[in-house]
Amino acid sequence: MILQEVAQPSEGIKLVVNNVQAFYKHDSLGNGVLYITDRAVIWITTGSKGFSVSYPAIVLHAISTDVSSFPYEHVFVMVDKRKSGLELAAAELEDEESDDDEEGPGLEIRLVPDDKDALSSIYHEISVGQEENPEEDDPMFDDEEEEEMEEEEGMNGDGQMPSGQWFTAENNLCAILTEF
Amino acid sequence: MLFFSFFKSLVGKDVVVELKNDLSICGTLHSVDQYLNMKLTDITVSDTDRFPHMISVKNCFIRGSVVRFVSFFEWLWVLLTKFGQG
Repeated sequence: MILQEVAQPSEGIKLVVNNVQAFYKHDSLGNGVLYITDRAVIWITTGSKGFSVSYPAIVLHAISTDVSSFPYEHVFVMVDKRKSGLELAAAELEDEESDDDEEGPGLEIRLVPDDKDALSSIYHEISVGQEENPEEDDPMFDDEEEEEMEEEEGMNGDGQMPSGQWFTAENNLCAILTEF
Repeated sequence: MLFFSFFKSLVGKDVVVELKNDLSICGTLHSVDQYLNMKLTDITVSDTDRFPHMISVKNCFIRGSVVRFVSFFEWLWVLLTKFGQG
């Protein structure tokens, strides 16, 4: 992956983690500082080089603790290449083209913090960032529809949940009973 | 939010989530939010040849906008793992 000139973020910073090694697939990109902001996940190594991935470009993220397939515990981030603006080096592009699918399945970035305790906070802050950055022009989440729902169900109807509120098995039963 | 209501009723069940990049993930739907962001636990992927990096992952967070469809028929997953490799 070709590292780009990235400015150090100054606002909206949720989390800063020093000594984070980033990998593209299995190749180390070096040691750097990870910034999780309200807009993007940014990693910067020496000489202001690094990458910045905005939330809409992040397909999924996860914590991997299985060291049999990768030598370090890490936060795995799958990135949509078209949305991210990240560029691959020529040799890496050839690898990608040998793939059946022209688009490629997505870029795989692994973040390995020196401090293992940071894994869960990195995962958590990326989750929060995802919740706070939904698609801007998705007709499915049109405001008009939201308003109609509010009228139908009343402002405090259970169809309307504030951002960041998750529906889990624990709080599931009551809502289902009221709905059906 | 018809879909949100529907997915809420699937929480705790085993589902197959197919992403727009053709990755299919089977797992237990842990939770879902209003943007259909989903948290899955105990995941497996069908096409491990193309997505080898996913083997080591057990739980994940999926951005709602990258989901193509969600299936909750477990037998479909059996078909995918049996014949999806070819």
